[in-house]
Amino acid sequence: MGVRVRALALLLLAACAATTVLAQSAPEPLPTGDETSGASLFTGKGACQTCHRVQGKGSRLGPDLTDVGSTRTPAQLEKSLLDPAAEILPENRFYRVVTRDGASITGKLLNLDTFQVMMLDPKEQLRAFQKSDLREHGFVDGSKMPSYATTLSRQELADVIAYLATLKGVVAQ
Amino acid sequence: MTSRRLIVLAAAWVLAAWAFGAWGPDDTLLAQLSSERILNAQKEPQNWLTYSGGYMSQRHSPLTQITTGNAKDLELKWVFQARWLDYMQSTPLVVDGIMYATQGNDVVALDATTGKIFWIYPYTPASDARSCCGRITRGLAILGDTLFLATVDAHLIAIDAKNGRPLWNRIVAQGTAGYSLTTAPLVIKDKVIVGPAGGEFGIQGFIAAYDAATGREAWRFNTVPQPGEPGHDSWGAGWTHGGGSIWVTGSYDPETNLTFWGVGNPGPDYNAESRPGDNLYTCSVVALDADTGKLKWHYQFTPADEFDWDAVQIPVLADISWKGSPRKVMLWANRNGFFYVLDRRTGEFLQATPIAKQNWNAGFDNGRPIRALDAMPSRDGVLIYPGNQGATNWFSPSFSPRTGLFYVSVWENTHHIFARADQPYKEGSNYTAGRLTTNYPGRGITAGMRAVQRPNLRKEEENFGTVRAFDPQTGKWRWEYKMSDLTDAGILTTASDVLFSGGREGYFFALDARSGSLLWKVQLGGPVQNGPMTYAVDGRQYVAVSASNSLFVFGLR
Ligand code: HEC
Repeated sequence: MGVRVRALALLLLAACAATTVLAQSAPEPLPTGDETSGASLFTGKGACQTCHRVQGKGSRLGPDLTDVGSTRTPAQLEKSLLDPAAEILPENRFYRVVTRDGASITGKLLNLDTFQVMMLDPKEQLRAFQKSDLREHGFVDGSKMPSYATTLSRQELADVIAYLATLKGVVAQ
Repeated sequence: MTSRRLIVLAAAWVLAAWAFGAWGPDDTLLAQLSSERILNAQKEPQNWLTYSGGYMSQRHSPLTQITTGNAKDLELKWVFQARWLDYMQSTPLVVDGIMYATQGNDVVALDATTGKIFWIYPYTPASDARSCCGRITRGLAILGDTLFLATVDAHLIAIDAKNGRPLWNRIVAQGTAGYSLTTAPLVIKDKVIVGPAGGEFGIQGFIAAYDAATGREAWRFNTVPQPGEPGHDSWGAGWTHGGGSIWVTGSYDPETNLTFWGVGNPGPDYNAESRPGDNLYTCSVVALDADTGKLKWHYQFTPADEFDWDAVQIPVLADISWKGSPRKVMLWANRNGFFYVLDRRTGEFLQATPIAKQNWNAGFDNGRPIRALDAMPSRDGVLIYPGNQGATNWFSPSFSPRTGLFYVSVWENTHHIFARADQPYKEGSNYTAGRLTTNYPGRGITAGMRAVQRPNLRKEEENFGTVRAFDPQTGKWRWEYKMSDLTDAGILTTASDVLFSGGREGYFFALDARSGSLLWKVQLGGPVQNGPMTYAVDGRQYVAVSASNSLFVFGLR
């Protein structure tokens, strides 16, 4: 028992130390968010749905956020909103092709091999292109997602994050 | 007896012999697969008699029916779908129209023109046998009417090639202690040579020869020298779990009677603190007398390795002109990222050049690699190119005596951050003592050992697979054939200058061996993980390759 209590105390100490370090380096913590207001920001002012899909509504070009509340922490969500380009996972890469007739299509890359490019195009169609039929092709660098550091207030950011945290996936009923 | 009765009797005898004689054992009916035939494998190009197609391990066939002109007319002739879910990494053998292939650790005899099964020898390795990388085998050896199978639970089994019945079963090592046999054995004269895998389990590696008729051990060479043996002092106390595994087939030079084998990494993989010294003969090629197993020479590619760079590649033997005079060399593209040219009679280091991006080596001092100062392993971790799976690996390269080029499947741009850690040895448990991380933004990009069937999203600067054609004279590559994903496919070349290979993307393709241009391709729906081979039956040339767990055979339309 005694060992356990001491271990717990140590853990707590360590946790305190960690938060102090965080508090020093990070800007002010966000205020408490309101998820209802976050939900309307998501569909309204933030225009998140133009790129993201939740429970079958919205665009499929950005990552589907239906379960983002269970796969990401609030801190990770905040980082995604403030600095979207900081880390782009391979499954969120965009690719641009230019066909022989000069049409340029930028879509979400689904699979790439020596001969073929497979993507979800902006019309949300599954498309496969033979590289030999393309004038040019390549990865698109940077993030499609704008930073919301200035377009959303601190309170609005907190609200959006509170809403995202409620998204826990499709629940079996 | 009158002469008339004699004639009648004689006629009756002939008739009887005609009717029943075929049932008697008559060795004169069919030429046995003698060791001389294996020695002269190039004289019967319709057959494929050893893992690499001949003792020089060039994976080069004299067959010429499939050409750079007609390769576009290749079509599927048959498929053998193994009832086995792991990758098929083996190269089948073909002897006089019969193909001997594997299905997991089962052996199957197939009609080489249709893929139909003559017989199956079923073998289920003990469930408590340990192996790092799948319960797989890389193939068989044959001598006379006997096939030799090395199993994942470390048995060597002789099988009757006519009916699939076992003839003897020899326990080579203890499977539960992490010893496994995944290599195709090599037959030399009357002996069968194998060695155990288990470099991630702290085994004590060896190469051993067994009498082909009885299975009795004829000789043994310890790849981690025991006390009193030369090289033992290169270990400190760490030799007891020193690794030094064997997991691809060696080569043989009849002129010097030397057999050459590549040796795996030292254990534990990622931390040399417990094994001060060069750790002979890990990450080396050893040249052994084929009759006695005595060491004639060795060359260590990576002394005191901490990056898991097994020297487990095929020793490719070639007779080339070197600086103006004929020389008998060994060509070796190593997991550590260098292409070596060695003199195969003496082991003399002739040349080493990078095959892919590397940062660990700052040159060579009399053949000994000089470690770059900023590439020293530590507990904090150090970024090393290439990564732990190497710039190439076990998959077979090819040498074409016609083009003079050495063809290698290369992994370009791979890296790992290697960090030492503590891990005590425990029998039968993974023993690596380190941590591997990467700078990649996601797991799907990692240059990992297993070809995972999932979409490829990697960028070229992250890593890619490529076939490179090296000129041994300069050590530089003349052309390359780039893929988007990595490749574990070996390479076959033919005397009509066609090159066959594949990759994780599932394509099997033919290239012009002189220019690297694509002649033909087909999508097989799963990673190509073995070395293609070729054979002929009734004057028709076939090419066999595996993808995932199936074997595909192609021929001209
Ligand atoms: C113009 C398109 C676009 C808009 C608008 C957009 N996003 Fe994104 N978002 C992306 C893309 C693309 C990614 C993938 C990663 C990257 O590129 O940064 C992403 C990533 C994310 C992630 C990280 C997902 C993960 O798996 O970690 C979150 C969370 C997110 N967005 C939330 C939002 C919210 C909330 C809004 C609205 C306030 C929004 N996004 C608006 C395109 C967009």
